[in-house]
Amino acid sequence: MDIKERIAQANQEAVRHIIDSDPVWTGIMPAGEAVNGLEDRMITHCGPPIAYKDMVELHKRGMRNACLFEGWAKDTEEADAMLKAGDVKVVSALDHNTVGAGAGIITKSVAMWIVEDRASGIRAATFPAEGAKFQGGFNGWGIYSPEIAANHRFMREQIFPYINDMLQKRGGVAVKPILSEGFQMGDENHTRQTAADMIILKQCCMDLINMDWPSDVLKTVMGYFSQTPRMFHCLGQGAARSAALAASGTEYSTMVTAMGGNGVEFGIKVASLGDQWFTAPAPYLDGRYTSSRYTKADALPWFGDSCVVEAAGMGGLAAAASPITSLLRGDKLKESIAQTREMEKICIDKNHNFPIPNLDFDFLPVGIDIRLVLKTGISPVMHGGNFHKEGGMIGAGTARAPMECFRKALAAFAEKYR
Amino acid sequence: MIKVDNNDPRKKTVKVINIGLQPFYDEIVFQGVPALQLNWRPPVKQSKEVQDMLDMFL
Amino acid sequence: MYKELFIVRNRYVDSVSLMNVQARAMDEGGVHLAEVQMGTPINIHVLKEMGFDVPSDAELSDLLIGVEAEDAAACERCRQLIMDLLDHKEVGGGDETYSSLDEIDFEATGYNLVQISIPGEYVVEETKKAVDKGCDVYIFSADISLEEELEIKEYGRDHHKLIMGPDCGVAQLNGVCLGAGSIYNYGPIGIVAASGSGSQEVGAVIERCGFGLTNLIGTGGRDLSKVVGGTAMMEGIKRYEVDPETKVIVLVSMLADRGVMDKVLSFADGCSKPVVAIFLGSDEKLFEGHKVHGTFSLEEAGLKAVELLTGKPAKQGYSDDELEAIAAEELKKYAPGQNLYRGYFMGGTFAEETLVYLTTHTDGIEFWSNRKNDYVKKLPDSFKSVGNTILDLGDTDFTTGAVHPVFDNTIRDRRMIKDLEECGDVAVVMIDFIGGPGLDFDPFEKTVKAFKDAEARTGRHITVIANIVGTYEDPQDFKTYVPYLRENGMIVTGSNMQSAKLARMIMEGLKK
Repeated sequence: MDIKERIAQANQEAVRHIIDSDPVWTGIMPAGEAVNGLEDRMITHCGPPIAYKDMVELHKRGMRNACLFEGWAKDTEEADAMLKAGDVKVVSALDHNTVGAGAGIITKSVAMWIVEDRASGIRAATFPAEGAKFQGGFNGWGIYSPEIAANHRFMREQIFPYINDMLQKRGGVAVKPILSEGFQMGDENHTRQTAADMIILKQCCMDLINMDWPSDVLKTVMGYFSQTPRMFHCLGQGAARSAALAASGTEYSTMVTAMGGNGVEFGIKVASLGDQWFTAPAPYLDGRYTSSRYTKADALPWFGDSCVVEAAGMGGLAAAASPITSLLRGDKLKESIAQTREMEKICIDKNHNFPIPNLDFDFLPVGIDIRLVLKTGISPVMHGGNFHKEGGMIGAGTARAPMECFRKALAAFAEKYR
Repeated sequence: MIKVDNNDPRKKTVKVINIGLQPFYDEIVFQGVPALQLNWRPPVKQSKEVQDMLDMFL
Repeated sequence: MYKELFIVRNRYVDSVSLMNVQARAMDEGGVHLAEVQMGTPINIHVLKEMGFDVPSDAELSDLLIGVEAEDAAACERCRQLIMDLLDHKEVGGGDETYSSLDEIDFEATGYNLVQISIPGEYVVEETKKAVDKGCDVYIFSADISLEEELEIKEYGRDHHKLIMGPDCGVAQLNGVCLGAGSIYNYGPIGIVAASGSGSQEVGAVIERCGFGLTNLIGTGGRDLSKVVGGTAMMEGIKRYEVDPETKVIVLVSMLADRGVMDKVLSFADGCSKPVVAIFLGSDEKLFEGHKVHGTFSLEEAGLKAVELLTGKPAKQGYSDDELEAIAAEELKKYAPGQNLYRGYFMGGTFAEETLVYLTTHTDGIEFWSNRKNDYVKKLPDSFKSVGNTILDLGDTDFTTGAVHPVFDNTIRDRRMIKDLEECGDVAVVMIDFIGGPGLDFDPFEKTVKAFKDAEARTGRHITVIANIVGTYEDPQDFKTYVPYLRENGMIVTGSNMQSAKLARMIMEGLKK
């Protein structure tokens, strides 16, 4: 078999890990237990590896806040010193079985939702949304306050143990069918999962009620379930991540298994190339701002790992399923369909689990092939929110993963398999 | 606007691919001649390094 | 009857798709029953009730296919069909999108003509690709070097494929109109043209004489340059020479490189069929020593071709006497001081033809134009008409960054309205209407209104002379609209030359 055939076969093998994955939300546990390799005095961050001193200010603030959250430091000066000295280590979330959405700040005490890919047995852990009152919050935006700390404790002690019990009793929640149905109802499962939020609530409603909890507990848990915006987001992330981890290590495969940015650099990982990162300057987003007072000068370049979902054939690749997401940028149905069709040109296969009405029930493309990206000059489109340098969202849009990442990856591939 | 055919039987032997501006495609379709609009995009100018790798692996 | 239950692990399908697939499966011959369901407790129960053997570990996320058919083989076929349907394997037809010629199977599909209107730097590669795949090529793109133009024309020639262009605006091949041209009837005259609108006029005149074309082969505007050397024109002549359907050949061009024109004429002299040529702006000296019939107006070229076909002189439109009579009538209608001419041409060739004719056939009348020509004064500002002005509205000073007026005649109308508002002394206006499936479909009413408004405003009569560069096969419906234009006071002549003659007669009359 010549190398081209080997690669084709390996890519089929790798993409099947995504297509045939069976992600299930199985439970909730602390990050220290759920995230492999996450030790004490360790903080994850989004994007490729970066030293504390090189992080954007927003990120540094988040790292310092993490030290306060865990009680490693009593104030931000001490936290800063610990981080600078390396007494507290910072690591890429995507170097572990987790995802650094937004700022991607995870420490051992953070409650994580576990998604297990039953097809491979691999578990990914992602941090959940912090309820209706704290958009972004500590994990996603790196902000911290007594209220946020109290809320985290409250979720950890008063909400998640109960949900965990329900999950054990129910046998978990199958994530893929919800993704599939959501795609047919206008979700693209990166920046929009409105339908998925409603479907999971409907599916779990009676399971929650039948736990026979005291009414104040039930109210709290139902309140979290029903009022948390984008509650399903982290489950889509977990599904994408566990499937990608299953594909990682496929020799000869040129499929992308991870993507993420930290506001300074953007990086990708490839199935056959182990834990190697291939990086380039993080791109700015194109799109619309929430207010005319914001401009590109206020914006942070790509910040977050939630584009793991694009690596799993969702989000930007699923634009055809979600014209309403495109409308945020001024694009309509025709452009949404064209975007997905364009992504087909750089993908290994189509995912029969996701037939899309706007594509006349054709399937979403899946499995980004670095060779095709270079050949066509088409880079994956990622949907995302635009962060202000100081924090907070100032808009929504898209960005393309930098072409340089793919060139570096192919060069490493050539080096390995020459 | 009227639709008149010059009824030239040789038209049946013509089949057109249009690369570029949409109106040229529309015009052929208007005359009842089979046509295809190519979804053309400029070819990517590769560096030699990348082209060599693509030749090897793709 | 044979029953079998197939289980597909971890394959989620929504309920609507399941229903559709089930219905299709039941239509298959030999299938009595097909039940396609997800492994919910209820569905498992139902399948068991139906007598299917459901594995005990069947789960919610598993797809269960229960088939009852005439034998095991039929069950298996049914299962395969269901899986193929779910995997969309039988999706045939529908809109295939191709992004490269490489993706198309030319043998199977039969495409034989490629039209190119992409940026110049990619034209050479795409043209060669098209030729390699057995296609003739029509190239509208213009930003290609002369050397590259020669390269692709020679490539086409060596592969026996027609290269029409670059910078080719008008063509017709096997009855199919391309670009900004008109739709011509089939007939025994073959045109090879380096001038698009020029050839359109020749074709229109031929049609008005009752004849048609085998083809209108466009060469692009620079074929007769020194570098390209008339390569495409000679190829065109060759084709017509061997084509049994073509009885007369017509060459149409603006004045070009002397050496190249001579070379082409010598080449044409070798034809067994009669050849007519016009190099607009030339004199008789060009044709001395050549067999080719030299003509000096676009109309004359068309009429000569018809004459060579029939053996009798041809005529159409208005005779000179008829034009004189019209001029005399018009001259009665002007106010004192009203004595200016304005020409608004969408076809550059008509501007040129008119400009050369008017300046060489009038005495003491000064003409201005945006075109560069020794016979006229160059307008200091193309956007401001002066005195007697002849405008080529398709020239780059108007069309850079803007649409060519043939696609939207209101561009011409607006300039006319502006000029007539600013200058009340305009007596004669010449315009052209160009027909074709690629052009403005509804130009007439807007233009008539523009004139009526101008006349109403000034209270003066303006003579509007229109030339129709089109055929009755064009979608502009000239059959209906030529009478409409006449009813609304426009004079519609049979050619640009007739319009120019009429204008000259009026201008001379106004001088007195």
